Amino acid sequence: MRTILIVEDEARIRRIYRRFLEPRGFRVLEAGNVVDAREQMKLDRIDLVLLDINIGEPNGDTLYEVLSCFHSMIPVIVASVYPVDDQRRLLEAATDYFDKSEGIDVLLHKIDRALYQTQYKPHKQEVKS
Amino acid sequence: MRFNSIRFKASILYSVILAAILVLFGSVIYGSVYNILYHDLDEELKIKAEEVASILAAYERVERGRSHPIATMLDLLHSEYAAADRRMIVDDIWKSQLEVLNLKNDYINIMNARGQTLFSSHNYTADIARLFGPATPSDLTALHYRSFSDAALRLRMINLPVSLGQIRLTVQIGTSEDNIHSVLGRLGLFLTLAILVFLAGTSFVGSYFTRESLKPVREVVDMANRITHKDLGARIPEKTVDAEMHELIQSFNVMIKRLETSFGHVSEFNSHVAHELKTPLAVLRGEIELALDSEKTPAEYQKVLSDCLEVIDHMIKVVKDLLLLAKLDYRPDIFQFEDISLTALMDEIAEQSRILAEPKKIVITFDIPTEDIRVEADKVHLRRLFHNIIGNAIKYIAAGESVRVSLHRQGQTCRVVIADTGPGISEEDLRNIFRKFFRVPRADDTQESGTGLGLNIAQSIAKAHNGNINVTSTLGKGTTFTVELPVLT
Repeated sequence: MRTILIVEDEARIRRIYRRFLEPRGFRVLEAGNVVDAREQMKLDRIDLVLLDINIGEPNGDTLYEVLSCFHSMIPVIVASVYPVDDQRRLLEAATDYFDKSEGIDVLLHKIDRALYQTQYKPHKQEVKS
Repeated sequence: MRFNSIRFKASILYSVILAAILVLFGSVIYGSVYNILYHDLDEELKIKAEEVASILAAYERVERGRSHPIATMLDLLHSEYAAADRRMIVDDIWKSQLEVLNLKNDYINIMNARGQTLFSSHNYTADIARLFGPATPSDLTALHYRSFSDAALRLRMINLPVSLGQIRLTVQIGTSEDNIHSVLGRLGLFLTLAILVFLAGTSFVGSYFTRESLKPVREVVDMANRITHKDLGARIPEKTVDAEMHELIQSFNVMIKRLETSFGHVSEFNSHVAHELKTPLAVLRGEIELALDSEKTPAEYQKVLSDCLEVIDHMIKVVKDLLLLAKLDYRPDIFQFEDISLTALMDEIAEQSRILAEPKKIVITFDIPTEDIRVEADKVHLRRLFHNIIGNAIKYIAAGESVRVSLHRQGQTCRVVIADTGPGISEEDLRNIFRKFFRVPRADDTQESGTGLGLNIAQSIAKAHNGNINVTSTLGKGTTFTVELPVLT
């Protein structure tokens, strides 16, 4: 079973994603802030991180730095309400980007694709920190 | 060059001033030359007249007994044939003397004491006599000069009364002023041309220098034109220019900096607004998609719909608060200030706050003095200010904790202190507390229903009332908001 960590400050959105992902065979972990997310990552093996950038201090991009340095093999999908192009400008080398207003289908598709890609490319390119 | 430009106006002003100076200068020169020429002519006429008089006197002495000695003399002067006179030798002497005086082209009229012409030169025609006019009493007694002119002639006439022993005569000699006028005409033409050439030259040079000195203005304009909202980081270079221009450029740069800051705020604000509105939209979308994902019971559908309604209500609240904030900050005319009793208003607020605090089992106490404290305020907005702060306190503290509201006056200021015994706010969060959409993170991670604009609105209202809001807090002990307002005296 694949484990997805949702890092998101909005509890309702975490709940919605969980209720979509669990029936589709994913194990879902939730973190409302960066500190919780770090704890979860220490405790569990994570297959994919769904990361909101704008989650208060420390912000999502801090966690992203940590992820790309220490867990560069874990795919990261950046998810926020900002347009995808803006997200890409902010965090250059994420596996994928998701605009929360795009709809769950798009997110599910992006999660599938990210997991599929990592399967065949076990090592992501090192990202400059 | 445009007619309403500084350059054009400066050039015109310089030219007009210069023209006035030059015309004045030219007039002085012209006037002086005019006076000198007339003075010289008059002197010359006087010498001639005196000579004629002395010749007359001498001739009178020599020719005493001859019937018309003076007439003969004038004949000699104006007639080539007079030399053939029988008194040739003597006459020749006079003639040569008269020729020395160069009287051939002058009009000579010699009158007796009664003003009757005794003798006149041949060229002293009736026309000339008319021009000279009949003798006046002063002609017979005083030396004077007169100018005459008609279509053909311009004459200067000297009138010199003389006494030859017992005989009193008046010598009038008229001479042409053509020489003077020719000199004056040429001088006038020369001065006019010189002034025009000089003016043209200086206005050209002046215009050039004005253009040069205004060049930095052009540069500022070009630079200002190039700066757009995308490019507000640009500044006009403060290179070595005149003090005034330097000042202008500095003001301009300060203005651009302010604009840059404002645009920065607007852009940040827009991004916040987008975030604040798109997040609930994402929630709405997620809830609806989730509902459509699989078959649900009617009760489950109802739950989804009521959740959605809640989200929509929140969005409406955000939009309302945003609109209100925009009004408070940019439409000062929405405030209707009047003389109100703050004591009475606080009593009202106490009543309403107790109702709000009741369900959460929060103890709220009001310490309001009996003294009637009056302020100049918009009641509706001032009430909102206190509701936002008290509401926040009620929202953030746990059941059983308390909020204490007190009002007191200190000189010209009154203070409303709202102190809670809640969890307190960290120093870092305290710094951001008046930032738009900032919400103090909560330890229990529960979703608060606020818009993150309440304190902003309160602050804007306080500022509109010339007041202020301060906040202090100790973690674990509570938070104290102090609203200061000027008292109406």
